Amino acid sequence: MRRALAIVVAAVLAMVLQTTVFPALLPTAVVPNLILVLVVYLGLQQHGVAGAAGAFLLGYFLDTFSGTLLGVNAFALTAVYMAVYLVARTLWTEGGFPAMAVVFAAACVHGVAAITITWLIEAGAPLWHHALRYGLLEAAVAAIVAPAVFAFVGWEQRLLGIT
Amino acid sequence: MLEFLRRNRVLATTALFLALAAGLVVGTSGDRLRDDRLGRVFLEVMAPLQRMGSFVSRSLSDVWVGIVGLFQAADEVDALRARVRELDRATARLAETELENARLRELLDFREALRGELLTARVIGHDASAGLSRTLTINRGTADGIQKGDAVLAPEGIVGHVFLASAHAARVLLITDHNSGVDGVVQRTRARGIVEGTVDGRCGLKFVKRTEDLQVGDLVVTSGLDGIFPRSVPIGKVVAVDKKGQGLFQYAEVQPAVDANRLEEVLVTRGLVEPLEPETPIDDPVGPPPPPDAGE
Repeated sequence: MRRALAIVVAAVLAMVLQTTVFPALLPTAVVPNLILVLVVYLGLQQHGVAGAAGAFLLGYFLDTFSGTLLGVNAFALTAVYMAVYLVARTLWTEGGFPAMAVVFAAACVHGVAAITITWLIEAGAPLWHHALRYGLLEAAVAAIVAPAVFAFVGWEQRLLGIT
Repeated sequence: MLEFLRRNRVLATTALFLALAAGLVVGTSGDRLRDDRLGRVFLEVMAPLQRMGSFVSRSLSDVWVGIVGLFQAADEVDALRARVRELDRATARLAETELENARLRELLDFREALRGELLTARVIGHDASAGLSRTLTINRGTADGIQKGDAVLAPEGIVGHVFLASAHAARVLLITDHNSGVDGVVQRTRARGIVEGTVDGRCGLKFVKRTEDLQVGDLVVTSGLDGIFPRSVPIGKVVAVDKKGQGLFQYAEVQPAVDANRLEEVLVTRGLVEPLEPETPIDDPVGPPPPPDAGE
């Protein structure tokens, strides 16, 4: 429960940052996707039904504040969770550069999954063009902020007495 | 089957959520005006936090804009300072040009008051020793028709005469040089004398008869009799009179009308130059005094 609370608090803060602070302060078209990083964290740390549900809900949460097509991020982040979970079963990626690499790959998975599911609905939309233009940059930015997000969630968990 | 699902329950659950999400996408894609209850809850919960976040971000943005503005202002200040320096230089140039124009206008007026050929010249150098001798170098020479002995004038009065001329430059012996002598006349009394330079760079009026009325403040002008300077051009003013010495003549110290140190442009006579308005003839019953080097 406390673990979930830590993720919820982090998600709320991440959403506030993503929707208010970053757009105002960063003069770029790319905003760090902190929710994605949280899902990666779940995929690395939370192996269970709760983790999968958390990924879905975080995606849904992101859908509420992103775009008009409900479920796209829920689908994409659930796919990310699955991919990271599979990687985490075989590779030790607790933090540092490996975690950043996983976040980068996860962001790519997120992009591909989101575009694929959207393309199924909106065939013909120039989505791949956008993905090629911004996808890698978004992935890189997410990878850069990942250590900070991981550290924040770790700090929260220590604060809540979760070891 | 159950065992497989138990072993892969995470994957199975995830697959279930994937299917649910895909269903959501497909199910809601027809109606973009979604009736999303969970979304409304998220929206409602997040609204105050977003307002707060927005306030914070605006404040941070203002601070950021302020910081960026400071740097930009610093750049702008540098640019403006450079512009001010540029304008200062332009203003100085303009002032210089205006002053030059005024001087040249004055020179032109003076030139129009004389009949004869006059050439404008620019002072390009002063005496290299600046001690005993007092000379100037001008930027006109024999190529411009300048010859040795030509008079050099300024609107305020006479300057000196050319004593050396090359093709494109000439040297001028100032009236304050101790080798210089100019035939002069006291304007008020028409008394004649010779204005000579002194070793200390001043002028003295010599060979004025002791009987002549010579007073401080009298203007001494050229007589025109030395064959160099046109007549009636100011030489200077009497600043001291000495009648104590023995002999036939008295002596007066003369302050030159022209400050040669500040000269920039001069007029050089070519041939005979006369003032347009004739002046009272010089009363000279005894003839000119015998200056040893007058109009050298």
